[in-house]
Formats: sequence, C-alpha cells, structure tokens
Amino acid sequence: MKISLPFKTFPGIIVMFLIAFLARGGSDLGLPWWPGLESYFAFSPGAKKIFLDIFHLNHILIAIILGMLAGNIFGLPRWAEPGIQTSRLFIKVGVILLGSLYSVMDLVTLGSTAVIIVVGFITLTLLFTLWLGKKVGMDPPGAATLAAGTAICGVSAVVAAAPAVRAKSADVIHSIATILLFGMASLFIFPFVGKLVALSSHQFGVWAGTGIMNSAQVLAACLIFDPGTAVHPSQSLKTGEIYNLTRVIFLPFAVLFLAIYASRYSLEVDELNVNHGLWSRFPIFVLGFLAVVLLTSFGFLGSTLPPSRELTIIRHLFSWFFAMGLAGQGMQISFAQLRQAGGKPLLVGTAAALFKALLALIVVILFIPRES
Amino acid sequence: MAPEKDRRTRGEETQIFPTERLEDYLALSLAALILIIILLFF
Repeated sequence: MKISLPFKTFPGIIVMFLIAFLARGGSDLGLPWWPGLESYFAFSPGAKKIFLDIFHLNHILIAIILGMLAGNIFGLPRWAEPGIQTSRLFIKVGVILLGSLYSVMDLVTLGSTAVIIVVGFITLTLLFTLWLGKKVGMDPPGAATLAAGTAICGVSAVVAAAPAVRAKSADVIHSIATILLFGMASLFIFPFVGKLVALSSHQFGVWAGTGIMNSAQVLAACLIFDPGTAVHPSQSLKTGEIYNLTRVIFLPFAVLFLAIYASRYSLEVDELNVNHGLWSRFPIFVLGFLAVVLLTSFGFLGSTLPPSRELTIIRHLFSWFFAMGLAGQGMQISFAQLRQAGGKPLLVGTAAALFKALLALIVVILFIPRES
Repeated sequence: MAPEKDRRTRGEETQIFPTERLEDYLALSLAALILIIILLFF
C-alpha cells in the first residue's frame, strides 16, 4: 500500500521531537517532570562545571550531540528517514520566526561609537573569513557559515546563516566546534591579556564585546575580568553587553549579505528553474526572516520590552524548531565525514578570530577612552 | 535478489523536497500560518 509523503515523515519527526524534548525539557509543554538535560546538568556540581561552565553547552548543542550520537551508534532506520530529511525545513521555519528577536528600532537607542565599531568589525571579519576560506579551498557555503559565526554572535549566527547559504550539516558542526573552541580559549586569554596591557573595565568590555564570538562567553569573560559588586556592578559586563547586543542586531543584514554571496557562488541550480540568475538561487525564506524583523520592529507582534505574549510564544516555538531541526541534522552526519573535512574550518576560524581579536585590541587601546 | 537495505550509508545528506525553492516556499507558508494562528488566537 502506498503511504502518502506527509504520513511517511511522521515517525522521523517524532524521533527529532523526542531528542529535542530530552535536550530542552517539557516545561513549555506543561510537562515539568522533565526539566531537560541542560537543567539536569545544572543540578549536579560536577556536570555543571564540565558541561555548562567550561563547554557552555545549551539545549541546542545538546540536541545536535544527541542526534549525532543516536545516528552514529544506532544508525538511521529506514522508517525514520523521510521525517529526518525534513530537518532543514524545521530550521528554515525557525530562522523565519527568529526574526522576532530583532528590532531595527533598537539601533536608535545604541550609541554611535558602538554602532560604528561593530559595523566595521562585522564587515572586516566577514570579508576576511570569506577571502581566507576561498584561499584555502573551502567551499562557499562552508566559508559563509563560518564567516557568520566569526563576525556576529557565534552559534546562533551559524544556525541562522546555514540554511541561507545552503550549508551542509558538516559545515554547521565544524563552524560551531571552531567557535566554541575559540570561545573556551578566550575565557582564559582575554582577561589575562586585558590585565597585561592594563585595559580599564570599560575598555575590556568594548574589546570582549567586539572580539569574542559567542554571547555567553562575552558575558563570562567580562565577569572574570571585573566581577563587580552589588554596589558597583561590573562595568566591563555593562559595556560588553552593549557591544554584543549591537552585533546581534546586525545579524539580519549579515544573513542577507551571505545569502547573496552564496547565491552568486552556488554551483547547484534548482532543476525546475529556467532562469539561472542570482534570484533563482537566492534562498527566498530569508525574505520571510526579514519580514518578521519588520513586523517586530513596527510593533505588529506587540511590545519587545518586555516581550508581548505573542513574541514569547514565537520565541519558544523557534527554539523548539531549532532543537528538532538540528537534532535531525546531527543524525545525518557521520563522525567519519567530520574527520574527512580536515582542519580547514578550524584553521580559517582561528585565523579570523585572532585577526578580529588583535585588531579590536589595537582599536580599543588607540581610540577608546578609559572611562565610558 | 539482494535484500533491501534497512539502514542507509552514514554521511549521505539527502533531501525530501524535489527542489530547494519548494522547501523555501513550504517554510514561508508554515511560518505565515504559525504567525496568523498566534495573532488570531493568542
């Protein structure tokens, strides 16, 4: 008996849902008895130290790792295959809804110095990573995914850019691994160098908010440099978060730029398209993402601060879509395939990260006053 | 006759949709539907 395609996808979608449920817990679904592995780790001091404080694992990364483990240990059963192949669709819907996090109106409230510095660094890092990726022979989607991660805000930028540039699962995993490795190293190196060159707390915040790639690690490095007190809160954290927020707000523009870049260099053209121009290869779901950014910016989805009920539901939903989609992507990647890609993403990512960190340090020493 | 494989080779990333554009349209439609439902009912 022939089963229609939507029904065939159900088993695989349920597998992805179960992995996402294991990673992020069921409190959103009215199932508080399972808080999710992330919260589970937080309860145990040893696990918290290793998984949360050092590796900064969150439910998204846990979903990818669980997917990879399940796929590599148990294999991918035929009955689950059609559903797991929809994983990229889940990520795309998640990226469109992710637009609800960004409001162009937020740009108005940020200082002009932060905007100028951040835009300059995003542009330079994007161009440098794409250039270096091309030099060492990375394929354009892989280089573009890594460029998003190094230039904007790490893991979430990689997740948002990956479908827009048609990256493979291996590109996503490599980019995330590179960013996390650099992020871990920067937790030790940034505060050490900051003390060595005698940066003020404000200057360190600018440097960390510009130079460190992952949001969680910006926060941690700033607190290591200047823990602050209840009376005098950490100045480096305050400044670092402003710069980090500014960088995050520019994600939609970077995704649009990278989508156009990858479309120009894309070798694969959809067979059904007669027109082989840029538009035929442009990932049009990115327009949905930009439309949701505009809807959020002009208040159609309610207030952003504090987030309205509509925005809160949308944000929970995209988090679920990402966890499910990335669990499915993790299931489709083999450890052997990861090894085959070699060290190119690590080399390019590390070079781009060092380039950005050094240049940011020079700019901070030369142009940023010691006090805000 | 060779037995049917019940597991595929690891590392092959295949897609269920015939074209990438179709997947994009489906993603846009699903997102629009979600937004409409949230705006209407919540």
